[in-house]
Amino acid sequence: MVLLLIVLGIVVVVALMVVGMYNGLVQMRVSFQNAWSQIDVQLKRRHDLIPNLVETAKGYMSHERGTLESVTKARQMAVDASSIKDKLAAENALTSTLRSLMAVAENYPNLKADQTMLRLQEELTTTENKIGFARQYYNDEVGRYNTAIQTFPNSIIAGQFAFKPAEFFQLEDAAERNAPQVKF
Amino acid sequence: MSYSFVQIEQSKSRTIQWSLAFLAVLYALGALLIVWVVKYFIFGRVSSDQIELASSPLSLLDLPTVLWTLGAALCLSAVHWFSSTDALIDKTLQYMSGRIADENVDDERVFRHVVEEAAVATGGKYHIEPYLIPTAAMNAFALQDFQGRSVIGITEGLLKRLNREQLEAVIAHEAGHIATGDCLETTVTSVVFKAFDTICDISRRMLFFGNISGNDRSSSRRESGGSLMILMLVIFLIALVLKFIGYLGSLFISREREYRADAMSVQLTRNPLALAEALHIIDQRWKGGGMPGEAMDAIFILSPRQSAYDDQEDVFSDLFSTHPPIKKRIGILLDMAHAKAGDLDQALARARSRFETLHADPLQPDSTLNSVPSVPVPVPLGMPGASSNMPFPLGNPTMPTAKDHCPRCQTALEPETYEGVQIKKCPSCQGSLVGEMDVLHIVGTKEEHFDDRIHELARITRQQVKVLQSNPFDRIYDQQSIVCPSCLDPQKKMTRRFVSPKYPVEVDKCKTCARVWFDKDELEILQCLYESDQSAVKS
Repeated sequence: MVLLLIVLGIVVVVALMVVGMYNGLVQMRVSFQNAWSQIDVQLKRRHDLIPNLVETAKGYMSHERGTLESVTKARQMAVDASSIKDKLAAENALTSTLRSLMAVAENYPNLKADQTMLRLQEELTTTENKIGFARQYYNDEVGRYNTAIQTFPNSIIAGQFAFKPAEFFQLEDAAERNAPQVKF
Repeated sequence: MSYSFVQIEQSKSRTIQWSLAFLAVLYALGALLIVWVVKYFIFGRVSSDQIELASSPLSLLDLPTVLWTLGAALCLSAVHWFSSTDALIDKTLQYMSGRIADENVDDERVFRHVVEEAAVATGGKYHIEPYLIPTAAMNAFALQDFQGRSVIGITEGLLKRLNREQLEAVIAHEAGHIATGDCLETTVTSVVFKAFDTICDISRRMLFFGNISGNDRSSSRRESGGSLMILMLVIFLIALVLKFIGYLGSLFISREREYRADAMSVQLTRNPLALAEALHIIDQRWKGGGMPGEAMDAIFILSPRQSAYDDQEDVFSDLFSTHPPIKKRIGILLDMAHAKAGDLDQALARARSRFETLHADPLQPDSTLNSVPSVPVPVPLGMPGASSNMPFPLGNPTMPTAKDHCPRCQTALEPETYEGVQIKKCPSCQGSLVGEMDVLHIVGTKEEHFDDRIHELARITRQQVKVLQSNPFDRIYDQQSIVCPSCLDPQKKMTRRFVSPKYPVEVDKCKTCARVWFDKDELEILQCLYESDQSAVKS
């Protein structure tokens, strides 16, 4: 009788632990998915800004057609991308075309002085920063979740209930990866 | 994020409960004391022939009296608590005459954007409102209330003087306070104990400046004479006690939280150097002592009060100071950036030139993501030796190595004729050394044109004239700063202070040789202020 009670007690405790761990993992998953939606919001903002930017730039740099078109194209690709992997590739491509657009824009003093353009550039800067911060937060959350599902004893629960490691939002572009964060 | 929200919630409510309990005890003790004093002086004397009363004065407090007093005290403290925490953000902002940042002004739009970025960086859990405080003082703060409403505020003076990276670092520091949860406890404690300090302030003002109407105070003083003096003395004592109680509020606020918020800022922006630069810039300037809000010093990034405790680390300072020593904070940040104190100067010089380009072309995108290869590295004007080392240890500016070298950047000063008088000007940082008499001459000479930036800075400076005029002047801002480039005496440093209460422009003044050091723009702001006053008089 006593033995039975002890066994029963252990079973209950283990069951409670499993429930606790499972809930913890679900919470972390929701948290990083939520962080992803934050990135999505900012990416959408960037997509909305680009047509205005291209339109303004067009007035000043009519013979840089190629650059402008590649930006528009890269934007369309980014809008159409659906899976995380495609999105990463498309956004990276968009970033590099935008950067070359900005580099070309340096040669047009009139464009640089244009009030609308200045405003759009500030909007773009803040949006890029927000994407960066949202990405940072997302990666932190994913890192927390990935660590949790791979460490014991959570790993057992994760294996049983199919918690899969999540993907980091990484930058493919070598130049950007090398950009120093702390500047001297 | 590496902190647990459960822990934060727990410590939050604990601090707030402690300060509520402390307030109740304070009121109870105060009420008991008052009741006893009243009884002793009124009833005690009458019945002094009764032996038992004379032998034990405490017996004046019998049980019903004590219970009644305690009940009343508890009610009073509850009233105090709820009246000060009700709508606390709105009241505090109104007290500091804050206004929400304007989307249509270039600088303020950047500020709004940076605050939005900080909200995203902390996971988008908080909607943070950006507020501006109209003063030339340099400070920033964060507020939060029980409903979770959060505000980040910055003074106009600071906003105008930081570049984007430094602004991001400062805002991330404040967002760190909000995200780690210590902001709520700081706000509540400061607001609750601010009341004592405010009462103290009012009584002190009455003491030093006569009654509020002020005009006929000398005659009334002569008439009532001695009794007024006693009354003044009592007010003064009460004020001192209240002041002390106000300080007790800071017992609840740990200095550690500033280190935590600095660390959060670095975690978010990955840029320790920008925060070190910003802290250094704020530390060198007037931080808002004497302005409304001074009593709530715990909410600011650097304490606006001048206090000797702030630079020390013993037990007493830990108790009564709300901020850790600034040199230590900057030192930690420089360590994170693997930089030495000397590097900060070079970084500051570079930051200054970045600031210049930023303001010449306010919406120049900064070099974080989209334009790294294309932005030319700005070269500061007339700064040939900028990259060679410029020794300038933190918080203790070195003696100039030779006579007539700039106390800020060690460049040789060049004689120049300005408005008909001889001044010495630094070709690198644009500061100038002017004789005290020559200042009057320069200011008196009519200048036709200042650029918009000077007008803007003058406008901000003017906003604080009224507040500063009602305060004892030296208490607000009087700080040992740089070594006079003319006397070269490290024992007698120049004093950083305002020109006058009417013209609150910050300058460094040498008491030995009566020369005044103006940093860039300061002389122009002074001229601009004087001139607009003159034209106002004429019209």
